[in-house]
Amino acid sequence: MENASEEHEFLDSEIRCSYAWSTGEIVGGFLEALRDRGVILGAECGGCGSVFVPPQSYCEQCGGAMKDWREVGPRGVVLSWARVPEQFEGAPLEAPFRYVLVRLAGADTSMLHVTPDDERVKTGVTVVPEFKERRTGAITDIRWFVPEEQ
Amino acid sequence: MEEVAVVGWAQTRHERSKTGQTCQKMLYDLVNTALQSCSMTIRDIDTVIDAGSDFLDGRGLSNALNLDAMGAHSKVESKVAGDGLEAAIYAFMKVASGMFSSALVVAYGKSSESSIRRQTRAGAEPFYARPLGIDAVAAGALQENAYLHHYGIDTSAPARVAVKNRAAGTANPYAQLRSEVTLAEVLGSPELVSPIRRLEACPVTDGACAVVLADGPMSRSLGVHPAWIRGIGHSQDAYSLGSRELHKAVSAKLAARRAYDMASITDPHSELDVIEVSEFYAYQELMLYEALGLCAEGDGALLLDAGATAHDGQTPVNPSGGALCANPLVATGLVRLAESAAQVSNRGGNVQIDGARRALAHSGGGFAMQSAACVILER
Amino acid sequence: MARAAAVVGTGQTRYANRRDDVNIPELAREAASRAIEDAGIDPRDIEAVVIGSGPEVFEGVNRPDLWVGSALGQAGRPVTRIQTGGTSGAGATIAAFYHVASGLHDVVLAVSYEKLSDGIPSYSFSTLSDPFWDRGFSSGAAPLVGLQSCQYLARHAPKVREDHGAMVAVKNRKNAMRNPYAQLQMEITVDDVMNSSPVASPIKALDCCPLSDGAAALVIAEERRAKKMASRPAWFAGLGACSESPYAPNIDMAYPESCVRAAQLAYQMAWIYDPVRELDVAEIFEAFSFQELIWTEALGLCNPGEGGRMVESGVTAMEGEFPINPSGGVLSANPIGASGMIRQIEAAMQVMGKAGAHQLPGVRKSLAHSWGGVVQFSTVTIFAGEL
Repeated sequence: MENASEEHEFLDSEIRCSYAWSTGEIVGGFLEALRDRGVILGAECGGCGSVFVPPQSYCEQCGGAMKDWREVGPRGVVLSWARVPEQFEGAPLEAPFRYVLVRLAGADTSMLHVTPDDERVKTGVTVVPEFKERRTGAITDIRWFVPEEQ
Repeated sequence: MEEVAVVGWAQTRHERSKTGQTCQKMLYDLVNTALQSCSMTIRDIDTVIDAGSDFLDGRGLSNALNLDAMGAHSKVESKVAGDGLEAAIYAFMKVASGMFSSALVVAYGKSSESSIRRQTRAGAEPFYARPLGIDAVAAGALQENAYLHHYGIDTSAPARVAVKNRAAGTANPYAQLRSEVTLAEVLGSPELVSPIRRLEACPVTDGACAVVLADGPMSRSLGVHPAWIRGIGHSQDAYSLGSRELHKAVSAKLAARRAYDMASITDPHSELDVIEVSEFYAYQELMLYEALGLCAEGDGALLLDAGATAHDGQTPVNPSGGALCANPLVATGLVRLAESAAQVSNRGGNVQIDGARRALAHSGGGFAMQSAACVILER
Repeated sequence: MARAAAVVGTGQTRYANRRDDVNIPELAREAASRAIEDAGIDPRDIEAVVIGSGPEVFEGVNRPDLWVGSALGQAGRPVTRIQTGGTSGAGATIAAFYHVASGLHDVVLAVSYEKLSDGIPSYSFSTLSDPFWDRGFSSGAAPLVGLQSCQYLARHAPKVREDHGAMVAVKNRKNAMRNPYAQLQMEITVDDVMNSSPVASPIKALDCCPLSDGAAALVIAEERRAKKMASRPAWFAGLGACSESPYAPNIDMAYPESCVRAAQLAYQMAWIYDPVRELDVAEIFEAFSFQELIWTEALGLCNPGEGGRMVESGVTAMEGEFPINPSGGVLSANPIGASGMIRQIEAAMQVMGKAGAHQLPGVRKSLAHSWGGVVQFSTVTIFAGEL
């Protein structure tokens, strides 16, 4: 066919958009507590009584509304972990590192976070959070969780 | 509720990258093939439901660009922003209502055109998850770990799923990966995010699938073996990984139960002849055996190792090779439906399970199988 | 014939330029809670949820249904999301209708939302254009609708004039004063509109909808349950939808085929032969004032070229023979993914007798319209007070 290209043509195109998501009061309150007080808060559901960490104003399980704040942790138990071997864009810290789901003391749900790539990080291990010195009101104000020293 | 059947289908030869072909051309050829498979023309189609992803396409309103290629110009059309099997369920509803006699369902994804892991990362909610960079593989890894640990399952069980499905894929002319892998190769492949190894993860795929639904009278008039839709189930679990029971495929269990109730199935292991599941990571297939009621909780690996889900087993699972052999994202669940329809109408070619009369097609969505849909077909 | 189904409850949030007080799921939940309360049911009665919201790039979250769905009630129910640009909200209602009409479910919740303030709308809009052809010079909806309006005015001049658009803006912005949810409520004159700053000719600032955050929701039930839940359910009497090819030069934007066909399908289903006589009110998606003139014609509410006369003569005013947009329309609030559903809610409320200060007397049948994409998607929904 005349004029048709013989090569495989590609058009490179990128979408870069920035966002500033409003948190709402409950998420905002949790993040402020991280930043200003270095404490981790959960929310008790007015419907089923479960304590959710991190908190939402609504219950993901029963559909009820959050009733009360609860301070939880700081210690927690690792319920699951996964090791990330390679760096990627958007990584919260330098690889290798581990993702964990940590059930903090007083919580009925577990919280997603990270740990260093430490052999001791396994299911069932007790961990404690290490806070950053300079905090901005983000989940990453907790630098990571580390195995509790015995 | 009107009777509805799958009467025609087509899928692309799924590939790592369909260069030299725009999305529109891929869809145009695909829809023509699907229509030909049941001797229909686009004029016979009353409504089109498509599935697509803006993020995957790199374009807001992704389907809008492809409507004419899909044959949806001047038609009653809508887009489900989820998996193609969910689009098929919506199409089922339209025909079952009696207001439409036929429907075309189209789902596609050209994963080669963007970064899939970055795209799944964008599915993480912005406050607690996105800053941690969690993506589909890492979420799956957390689930696999939880599952294996909870039931004390040996960590190479998922690798045996990969071996089974890759072997099945060699017979599937549409599959992207059509070569076997050995257990040693799977176990020796590098970890993406532990414990998921590269050969236990679905590939990156360009591909699409189209399915034609018709009501009772039209289905019977077409001279094909209709694959009647007897059961439907769809369920979405809670969002946050931490508020879910990750060691169970909760939404798949609920979705399957609804589909079984509708289809009056009480013993799936004996009443289903073939099952096609969307196992994005090998471990998921083990969990799905349990969620679909083929075995007791925690016994998925036992069922696999007994050969019950092999091609010659009592309930073959993924004779097509499943998502491990081709993952045209967004279309994967619809491909399961097409494969299931082929099975029950004895048009499965080299992957045909002899005498298959009843099949279940499953799709999954979100991190760690947060959502699931099941459709049961019967000859 | 399909199972009968009706809207039995509706809910809306106050529309605003910024809803900083809530996050996206909370915004959707606010509307959902109100709809469930309005229907007088227990949240657990909802069997399935359908979500409509605009292109994902607006809020920057992929598969938002997986996240937002979790805020709308107990886990485990089917959640489906419809995304078709401006018709998303209306499309979600329509999908929810089929959930019930099919016999698969008896009580379904449809929720729609948009939180434009979380992103950068002017940039996000440009991503709707094709990267091969249009994206380099695309800059949002106003220029596109400017083209549409130019085409329309040129075709029907001198019968239709630029100030007819201004009359629509005056009418709808004043109507909005009786709508507690509206974002923009103003008493202005035609001169105010004609003198407002140019945006994309012939569109001027006061011809434009605002950018909005907001959510809307409705509950649909099958016949037996509907009759128990509402004293006057809004029965789905007619439905029509149509999609066209995406390229602007291929579409007659001044009289879009998709709108004409969608209306025909809805009228056919509802056994309506003379819409402007048999319907009592219409809520149509006028993101820009001139669109109300264009849709009025394409919906068959008047002949082509008569759109100007309809507004100038007062026929479409709140007190006129055929009121259009008594709610204030999209000109008063445009949370894009929800706007199509809001038109349906407003039309349903008129039939149910629940439109409060902007309730019209004796409404038996109403019409709701939406459009989306490059003027390529259209939906028409007709509600009736009786089965």
